[in-house]
Amino acid sequence: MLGLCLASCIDLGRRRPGFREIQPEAYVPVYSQDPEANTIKALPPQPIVESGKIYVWGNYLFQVERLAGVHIIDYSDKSNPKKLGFIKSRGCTELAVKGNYLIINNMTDLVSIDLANPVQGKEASRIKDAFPHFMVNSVPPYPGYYYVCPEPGKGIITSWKLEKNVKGANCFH
Amino acid sequence: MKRIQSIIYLLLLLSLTQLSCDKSSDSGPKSPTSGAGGSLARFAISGNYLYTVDFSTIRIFDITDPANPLDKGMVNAGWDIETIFPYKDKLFLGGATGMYVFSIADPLKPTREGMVTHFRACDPVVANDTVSYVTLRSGGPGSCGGTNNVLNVYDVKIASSPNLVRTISMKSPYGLGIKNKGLYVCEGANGMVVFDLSDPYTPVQKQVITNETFYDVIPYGNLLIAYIEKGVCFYDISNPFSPVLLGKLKG
Repeated sequence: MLGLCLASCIDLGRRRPGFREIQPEAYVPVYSQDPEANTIKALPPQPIVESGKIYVWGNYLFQVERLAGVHIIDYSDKSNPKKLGFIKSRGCTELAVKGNYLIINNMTDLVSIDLANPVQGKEASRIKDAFPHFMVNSVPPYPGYYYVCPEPGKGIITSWKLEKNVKGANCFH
Repeated sequence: MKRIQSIIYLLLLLSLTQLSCDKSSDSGPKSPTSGAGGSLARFAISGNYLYTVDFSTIRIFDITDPANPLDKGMVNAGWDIETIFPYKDKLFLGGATGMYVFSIADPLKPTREGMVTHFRACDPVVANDTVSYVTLRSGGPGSCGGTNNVLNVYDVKIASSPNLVRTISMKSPYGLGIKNKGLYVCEGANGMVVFDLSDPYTPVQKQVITNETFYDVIPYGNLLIAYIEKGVCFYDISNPFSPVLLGKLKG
């Protein structure tokens, strides 16, 4: 769901009867490096396309744009709710608010954002790789294959390649 | 591949009663210290702690200073956990094989107290002292295996051993929420169904709102905030069985 890493991504493939050290056919993740992937950025209002989870805080409503960030909505006039801005955060799916801070995920990191001025979207702190299972594209596109388990430190998975004679395909989906 | 999505919703009468007693405003608290999330959440705040679920673990963060969350480790939770809901000193988790109840009497050491495995459930969990509402959805994205589209009503007076008391057929249930005697079940493209909970163990369907694709709701004071396709919309639920559309934001 939402590209999150679910049951299949744990390193359980080795326990399956069909496991082999060199798998005749298996999926291998293709990583890319995006220097901005693990940064957040305040942007002007953006269109809501892939609407996601919501969190209400006083007269503000935050809505996740799936895997892209968070919309900041002022609904003090309920007949005319307005987008105030957008916090760009790649891989974002989750959110919560405590005090004056919005806590979200940015890829696999936990990020706390100061809401003193919500549209500034200022990062207060970050915990690297707090959620290793929140990787995007964490499983291959088709089930029924062994695959090389993703590693959060290696970057963003942009796609999967089906390759022959693959070593270390320890995951199964 | 046909899969089922399931939704567990355990009602929190106490917290809801507190919300409904907030007469200072018809739009919810004005200066909350924390807000409110929907029933699909993987993040849940209880006191000074943030609990998160991903796949098979509960992660614990100390957010006494929310500007600087501190990683406090993790505990093994179950299997394919999708949602988390805190109630009093408990966490209710929705997972692919059932619902898990964890005690957070010691907030740094969530401890499994009970579970139910006779239904497949992988979405929202929200709870109450006496009754819980669980939806199971078959097919569609985010589903978790299974064959039914139903709303189940559980007696949860003994939280560690919920007792099924009623099953109601649904079309494609997602998230849900309650306010006083109103139960709101999102059904994706099939709209949102409004139930009367005058008898909490016998929900009575009052109407179906079909003009949007509904995924989740947050009851917030007399407001019902709905997460819909491409946006959000706001209803006045002063009369819980007749939501009045106040406005919407799409695109």
